[in-house]
Amino acid sequence: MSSVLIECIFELSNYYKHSLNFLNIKRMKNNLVRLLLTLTVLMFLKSSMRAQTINWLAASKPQKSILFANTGIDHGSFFKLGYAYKLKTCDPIYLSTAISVPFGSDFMDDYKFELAGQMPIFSWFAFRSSIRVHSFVRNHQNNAVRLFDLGSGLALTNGFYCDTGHLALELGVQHTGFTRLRRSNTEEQEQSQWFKGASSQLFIGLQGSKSLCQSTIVTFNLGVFAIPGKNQSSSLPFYFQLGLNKKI
Amino acid sequence: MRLIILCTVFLAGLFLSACDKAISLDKADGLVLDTVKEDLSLPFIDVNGIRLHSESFGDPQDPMLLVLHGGPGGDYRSLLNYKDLASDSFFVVFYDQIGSGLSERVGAESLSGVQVFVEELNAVIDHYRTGAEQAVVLAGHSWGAMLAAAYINQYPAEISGLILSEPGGFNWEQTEAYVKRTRDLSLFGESTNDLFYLDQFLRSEEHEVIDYKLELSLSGSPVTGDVQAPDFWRYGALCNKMAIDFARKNQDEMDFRSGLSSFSAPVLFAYSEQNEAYGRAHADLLASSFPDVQLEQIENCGHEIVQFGWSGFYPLVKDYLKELL
Repeated sequence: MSSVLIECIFELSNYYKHSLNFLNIKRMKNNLVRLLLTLTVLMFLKSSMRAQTINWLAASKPQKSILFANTGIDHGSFFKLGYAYKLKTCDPIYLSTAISVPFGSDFMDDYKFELAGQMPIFSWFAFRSSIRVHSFVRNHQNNAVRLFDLGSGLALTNGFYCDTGHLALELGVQHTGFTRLRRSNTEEQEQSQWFKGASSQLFIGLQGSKSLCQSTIVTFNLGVFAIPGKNQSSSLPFYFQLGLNKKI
Repeated sequence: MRLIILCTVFLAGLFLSACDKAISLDKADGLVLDTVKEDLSLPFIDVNGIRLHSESFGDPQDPMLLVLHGGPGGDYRSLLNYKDLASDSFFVVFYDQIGSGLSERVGAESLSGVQVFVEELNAVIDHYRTGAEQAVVLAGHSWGAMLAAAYINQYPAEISGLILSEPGGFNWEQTEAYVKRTRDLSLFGESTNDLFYLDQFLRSEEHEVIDYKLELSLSGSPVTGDVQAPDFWRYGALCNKMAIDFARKNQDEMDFRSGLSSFSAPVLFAYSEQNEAYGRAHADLLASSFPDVQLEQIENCGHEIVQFGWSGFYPLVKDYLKELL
C-alpha cells in the first residue's frame, strides 16, 4: 500500500509538471493558485465511483469507522479493500479511501486508488438522497505500455432506507482528466505523452444493503454504463459488485 | 460543512474544465504507425484498387517465395528473416494484406470474407510474376499459413511448394480449438482482465485507437511460448474483427481441406517446441491433410518461429527449397 501511495504522489508531481506546461498558463501566480486549489480538492474529496455503499439511516449509530471489502465485475473482475470514516457533523458525512485491483496473475500491475466524500442532501420519512464526489488515480501496465490517469466524478443516490437495509437508485458520471501514456519500445527506451482522458462515462444502477448483525452489512451494486458521443464503446457495459461492511 | 463540499465540487469542476485544451487520447495521432496512404516513403503496390505495403528482395527472374503474414490483421515485420533466401537465388516477396499492417486502411465492407484475401494473393502473384514458367512457393505463418492453404485449395496448379509455420487450422473447428488454447479467457484471468481494464483508458472506436488496443492486448502471450512479443508495425483491428466474425458465421467457407489432398508438391510444416497450445498432436492433425509432408519441430522458440527460431528453421527451409526446385 505504501508503495502505491508513493507512486501516486510521484505521478501527481509529474502530472502537474506536464499538465501546467500543457495548458500554457503563463502567469506563475495562476499556476500556483490552480495547483493549490486542485490539490485541496484531491485531498478532500477523493472517492470511488461506487465507493462506500452506506445505509444512511443506520449511519446515525455511534460507530465511526467502516472497513469494507468488495468483489465483482467492473471493467473486469476485481476485489477492493477500503476504509470509511464518519466526520463529527450534524449530518453523517463519510470520507473513505479504497484500493481496487483486478484479478490476474500479475498482482498490482493494474490498480485504482480512490478517496471519497459522501453526504446526505435530502430526507423525507424513509426516503434519502445523497451526493458523492470522487476522484481517483488508475494504472494499467503491460510489456508495451503503462497507462496512468487521474479523474473524478459525481454520483447521486436516491432510495428508501430502514434500520436493517436499503434499496436505492444511483446515477452518476465519471470523468478522466488526464491520461499519461508511457510506451516502451524494443530498444528499452521510453516515450511518455500526456493526453486528455477518455470520454466521460455515465452510469445508472441499483444499490442495496442488508444487515447481518449490528456491525456487519452485506451490500450490492449493479448497473450499466453509457458513454455519450459517437464511436465510443465498452466491452463490458455493466457492473456488479458484492460487498461486506464491518462497522468498528 | 455543506458549503465546503459545494465549494470543492465547484473547484473540481474548475479542475476538469481546465483539461479541455488538451488533446484527447481518443483522437490522438501517432498511437500507431502511418500506413502507405499517409507515409509516401513506404514501398507499395496497387492491387485490386487497394494500396498495399509491399517490398521484394532478390532477382525477379528467380523462383518466387511469397511470404504471408499472420493475424488476420498483422504484418510481415516479424517474417523479414525470409529475405535471407534472396541470397540463395530466390525472389522473396512480402506484402501486408488488405487492412493489415502498413497497407491502406479499408472499411468493413471491403473485408467480406476469406475470398477477399485469396483474390488479393492471386493479384499479388500476378503483379510480381515475370512469366508463367516462374515457380511460386508460398511461405505462410499462422493465419498466413491458413491463407496459403485456402489459396492452394482453389489454385493448386499455381503453386510449386509450400512452407507452413503453425497454421491455426484448416477449418473453423481446428482453428477455434487452437485459438482457445492460446488464450486465458477465464473471468479471473490476467489477459481477460487486461483486455476489459483497457476500456477505461481507451473507449473510442476510431481506427487508430482500436488498432492500438489490439496491439496492447497482444503484447506478451506466454501461452504461445514466446519470450517477447514479435516485431510488428501495426495490427489492423478491423481486419482482425471482420475476419473472425466472418469465420464464425460462415464456418463452411472456412474449410480449406478438400483440395489439399490433391496438392502433389512436398510441404514443409513447422511447429515450435515451446508453444504449449500447439504441440505435436495439433501439428499431426493438420499435416495429415497433405499427401507429402515434412513435419519438423523447431527447438527453442514459441509460435514466432520465423523471428525467434530462425537459426533452426532456416537450414530446413534452405534444404527443402533446394530439393524442391
